Amino acid sequence: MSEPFNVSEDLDQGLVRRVQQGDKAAFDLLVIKYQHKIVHLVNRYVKDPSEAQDVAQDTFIKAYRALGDFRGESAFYTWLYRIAINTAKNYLLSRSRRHSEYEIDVQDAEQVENAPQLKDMDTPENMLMNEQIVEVIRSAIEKLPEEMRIAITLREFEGMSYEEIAEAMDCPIGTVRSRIFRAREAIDAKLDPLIG
Amino acid sequence: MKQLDNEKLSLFLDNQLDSEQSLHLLKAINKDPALQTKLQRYSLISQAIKNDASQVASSNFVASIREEIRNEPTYLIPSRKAPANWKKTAWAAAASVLLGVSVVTFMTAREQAQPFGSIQTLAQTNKHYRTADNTRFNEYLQDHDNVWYVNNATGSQPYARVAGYSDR
Repeated sequence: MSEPFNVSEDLDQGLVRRVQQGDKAAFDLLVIKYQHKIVHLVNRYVKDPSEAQDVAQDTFIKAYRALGDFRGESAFYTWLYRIAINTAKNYLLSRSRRHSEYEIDVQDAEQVENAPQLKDMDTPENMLMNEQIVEVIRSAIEKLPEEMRIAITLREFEGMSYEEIAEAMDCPIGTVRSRIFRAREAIDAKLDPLIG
Repeated sequence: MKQLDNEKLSLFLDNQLDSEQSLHLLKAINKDPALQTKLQRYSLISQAIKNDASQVASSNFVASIREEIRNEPTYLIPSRKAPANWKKTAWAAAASVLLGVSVVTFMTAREQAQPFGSIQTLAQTNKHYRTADNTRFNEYLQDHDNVWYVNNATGSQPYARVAGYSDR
């Protein structure tokens, strides 16, 4: 099976339409689907974990409020991604100018992307936790059987599709699915003592 | 069952499920805290492998947003159906174009099949125009034949007269 990226867009469009017709529960499904991506994205700007969570939540609430005007001209995730970046930048700017009511708009947000004063600082606790998690995951990957290690590496590092991995590893796609899943399970088991 | 759901979760993360399967799984995640945790873990692993960083949504993330949205107004935007008339219009336009093309093709084919017929028609048309021209030219000559006597100056003209030959 090749990467059916249109499938995701179809699903998103269907859920957006349901929200626009009054089904708030459909928005929960969009949040479930994209919550981790958005938190991770916001975290690139807002390093403090709890602040990143708040900004990511703001992103979804802003998205819900604007959803009435969303016409599906771009993919839902692209639209949500822009809202997340602008929300994060606005948050950092408003925090650095606590006494100002000034808020940047979309264009300004693009221009100030690399401003050093807008980079949040890692907290020592957060950095330590991050390092530990990454270390455990790397160690777990090294201990995986070779075929699982190659499959998960090609998928996550190289971003290859299942079809491409099957071709590269000369095995059926079903085997690729199984190997990637078992690799994730094995890594997850190693994470248990740390974050379980 | 859990194993199967987890496997689907892995496929979902890699965009390997179709719309219906994805929707079904999202509904299951929404109801099942164990699946929510599993999704969180898989996302964490994926991010940590890719970026040397790990930050995912907290376990109460969805619930917090649900609570916030509860106070928001509900959208009641009517569904945008593709209008049925639009389809009819498109079919009518397509039919018109086809009809036009058919007529032109038919006429062209007929002309190509009967080249002499076309030449005869052209000759008849030319003959008709020639007859009309002759009639007008005769009228012109008769009109100007009286010039000699109009000014009571037989055999001479006081100035040159140039008769215009205009299309009426």
